Amino acid sequence: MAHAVAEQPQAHMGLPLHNGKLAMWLFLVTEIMFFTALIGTYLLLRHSVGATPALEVKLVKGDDQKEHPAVEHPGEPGRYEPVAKEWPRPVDVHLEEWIGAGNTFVLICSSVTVVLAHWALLRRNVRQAVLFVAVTLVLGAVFLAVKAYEYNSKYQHSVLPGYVGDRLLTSDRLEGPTGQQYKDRVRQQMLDALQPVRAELAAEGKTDPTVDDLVHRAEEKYGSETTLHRIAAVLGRMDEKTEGGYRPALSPAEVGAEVMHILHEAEEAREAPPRLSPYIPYGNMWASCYFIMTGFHAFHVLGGLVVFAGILVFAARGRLTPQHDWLLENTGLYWHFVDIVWIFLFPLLYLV
Amino acid sequence: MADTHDGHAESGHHGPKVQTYLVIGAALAGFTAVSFVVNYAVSHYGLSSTAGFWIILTVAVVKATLVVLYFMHLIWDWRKVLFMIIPALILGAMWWIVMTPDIVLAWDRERKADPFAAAPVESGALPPQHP
Repeated sequence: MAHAVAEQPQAHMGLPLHNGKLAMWLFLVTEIMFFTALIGTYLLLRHSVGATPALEVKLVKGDDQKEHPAVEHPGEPGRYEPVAKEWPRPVDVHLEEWIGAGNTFVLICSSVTVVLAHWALLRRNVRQAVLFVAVTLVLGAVFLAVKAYEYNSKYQHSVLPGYVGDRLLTSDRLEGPTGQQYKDRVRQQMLDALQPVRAELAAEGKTDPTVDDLVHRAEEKYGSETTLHRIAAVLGRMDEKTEGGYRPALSPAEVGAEVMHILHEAEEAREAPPRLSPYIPYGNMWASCYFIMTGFHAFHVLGGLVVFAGILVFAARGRLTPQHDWLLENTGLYWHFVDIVWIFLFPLLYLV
Repeated sequence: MADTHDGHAESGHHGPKVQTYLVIGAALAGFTAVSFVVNYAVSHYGLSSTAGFWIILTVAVVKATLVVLYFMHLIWDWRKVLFMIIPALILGAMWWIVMTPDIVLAWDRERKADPFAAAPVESGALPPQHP
């Protein structure tokens, strides 16, 4: 290696960038393809909605009950009208746009701080760089905390893949297997929700109460405008009644409409939502897409946070020097990519 | 390893000023607010959802471009990494295009075979009644 002579640019083999940066870009390229696959699938699934016209029912309040006395509703006039199934709107799945926007802002700030950390290290200010990395870590953790809050909200409202009723049909003649499964699931959920009433009846010696017993006790104890009474009333109508005059069973779609009414009323009363599978057309597909995309994204965020924590540990041992700017640059590249994925996920899931 | 690290010398620049980063960061936050407001306008002020969709998507692309160009330094490093990124984008687009005929034909087959699919219903009509 000649140092005494003026340096001639040497002929380099290979690419004009560091191995680490090359490797990181190569990795990011594979991640681009990974997320393109997920997001692309979501877009295709979403735009396939509406290709199959189908009948579903929605409970509407109104006083056309006289004209269309299709179904009686306990205590409240109304009728069921068919609606075309559509992809769920954010409000249908308890998704709040402003939380997503806030999370986007948090991640953008963390991108700024990570690039400032690199900039600080380039200017040989290790302390400032470490401070910026710590702020990035905190902001990333805030993002994950908000995500956890959102996931919990989905769990509370039972908007989980496989737990949403969505392929329900209006007539017992056309009833498909998913509709019957939905009814069975809701029936069990309603029995579970009525546990306090059942416990009371059991204490009085009625260990195997009929549904009518449950309805009457729920009405006596809780009054007729409460969630438990509504649940009991729907449970009472869910199956065919042959004694005292024939009454047909509620169809799965009608059960779905009733469940949504119960959930809506509970939300209006600001109660915790009862654990009933909601009826949301395409809800299972929405939930699958949502959890897969945001879940993988959150996993990537977590990976980035682990690296930032590692950098902080490294710095705490006094081993981070201005020579390590490549470390911050490459970690920053990864973090910016995670930010870009969220920049696309946010509008696609929350806004449009 | 033949590769030696000498900071930023190879990229031929000393990095942008901190003001650039802060301005870009503020722009990103501003664009996020724009897309949020446009979404609100679509749902509450009657802005057409197609216009809203295109504005929001454009804003997302602009934000991603700013992050990629400035935060990820591509505006300086592009010539060194384009050989990796361009094929990935082409492959990504190709994947979509190649899958689409199969997917659309499968939907069509499904729709024809679905015994529970009903004819389109005009609004106000009742579903089939119980026998």
